[in-house]
This record gives sequence, C-alpha cells and structure tokens, in this order.
Amino acid sequence: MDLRLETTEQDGTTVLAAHGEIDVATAPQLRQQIVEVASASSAPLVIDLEGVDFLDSTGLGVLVSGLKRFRTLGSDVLLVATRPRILKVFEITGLTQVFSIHPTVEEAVSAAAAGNRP
Amino acid sequence: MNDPPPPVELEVPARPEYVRLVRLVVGALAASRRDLDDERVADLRLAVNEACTLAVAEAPDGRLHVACAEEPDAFIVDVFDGPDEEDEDDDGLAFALIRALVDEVATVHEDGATRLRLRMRSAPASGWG
Repeated sequence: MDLRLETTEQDGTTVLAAHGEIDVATAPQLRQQIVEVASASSAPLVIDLEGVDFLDSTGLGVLVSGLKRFRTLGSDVLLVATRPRILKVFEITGLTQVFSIHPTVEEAVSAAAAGNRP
Repeated sequence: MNDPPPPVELEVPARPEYVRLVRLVVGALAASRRDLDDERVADLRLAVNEACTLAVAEAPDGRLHVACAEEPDAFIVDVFDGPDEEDEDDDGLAFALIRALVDEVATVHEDGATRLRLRMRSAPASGWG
C-alpha cells in the first residue's frame, strides 16, 4: 500500500490528509509535502491521520521535524487522530504531550485559528 | 506432544520498500501459529517494523535477515545485524516502541552475529507445546 497525500485549504488553514501507511519507505513523501507547505505559507498546518493505517517511528520523526519547522516560523502543526493504533504510537513515545491532537478536522482547524489569533 | 512448527527465515534486500513485506509476513505467521489477539499481532508487527527499519539503516551486506522461531510460551523474532541497544541514543523512538510493544527485547551476540531478539509471550495456536 502506498501513501496518498491530499492538501486543501480550510478557513485559512492548510489541511494535509494522509491515507495509507507511513513507514521508512513512504515517510520521505510526507516530509517533502510538509516542507513544500511550509515554504508556501506560514499558516498553521493540520495533518489529518484518520486515513492512516500504519504509523511508525520514521513517520513520527517526520511529524516532529515538521512541527519544529512550523514553530520556528511562528506557526504550528496540529493533528487529527482517533484511531487507537495511531494514538497508541503517540502515547508510547510521549508525543501526546508535544502535539495538539484533535478528533476532527473541524476542531483542529478551529484550534489552529484560535491559536493564531493575535 | 508434537514438535513445534519449523522456524521460518526471511531474507530480503535491505531497502526501505521491503520492510513492509517483512512486517506483514511475520504478523501473519504469528497470527496463524500463536494464540494472539489482533491488537498483540499489530504490536508485534510494529515492533518488527522498527527493528527492521534500524537494520536497513545499518545494511551491513545489503540483505535484511529475519528469523521466526517458537517456544512453548513465546513467539521469537530475531532481526540480524541490526541495531545494538547500546546505540539507542540515536534510535530512541524506535527502541521506546519496541520495548513497549513486545514482552522482551535483547541483543544477542552469538556465532559472530548480532541479533535483536523480540519475544512475544503467547500460547501456541494448537497442536504442540
């Protein structure tokens, strides 16, 4: 299975929806997409992981480096995740404390807008 | 009492695109041979993925070698020539996952080879032990 990435705009926030598996073979695609979004706009980025069936430490590493990149720009990365297998990976690694994780894209977009308000 | 099923060894190119194949095969083997629920099979699949990802990064001779064996109380997966736990500073996330997901992890030095041994406690699915 491949990784499919789809980028849309929602209320001034970029939403990157991932579908498929994020591992050592596919994580470079995600990394490249995050870098492209960051260079196009410093608006907050929501990454939707609801379509992700598998996420490993390589994928986590890409998400963390994406978060650092956006925070350096004064922006943020927010995640959408409810699937137990995906949340478990964040919980084990302590990254639930690092990322803002939301149950729906709408809630993540609202949180991004609220966080971005001057 | 019957003998345990024979060990299964896999050897594939040590390249990122083959890691998925190995985790799927090992997960399917464990699911068919052991009394493990889906959650534990998924845990094993991710732990194997992490060990193989580290081994691919080291890629000593361009091959990734994984062996699965069975004991009465556990399913054993050895990933050869991969990471040493002593190097874990570089591989913190991967080792955090491996330790949390399987029951035991050990670095085994034997016959000139190094293996990361993952052990998943479980009863045999049927027929032996």
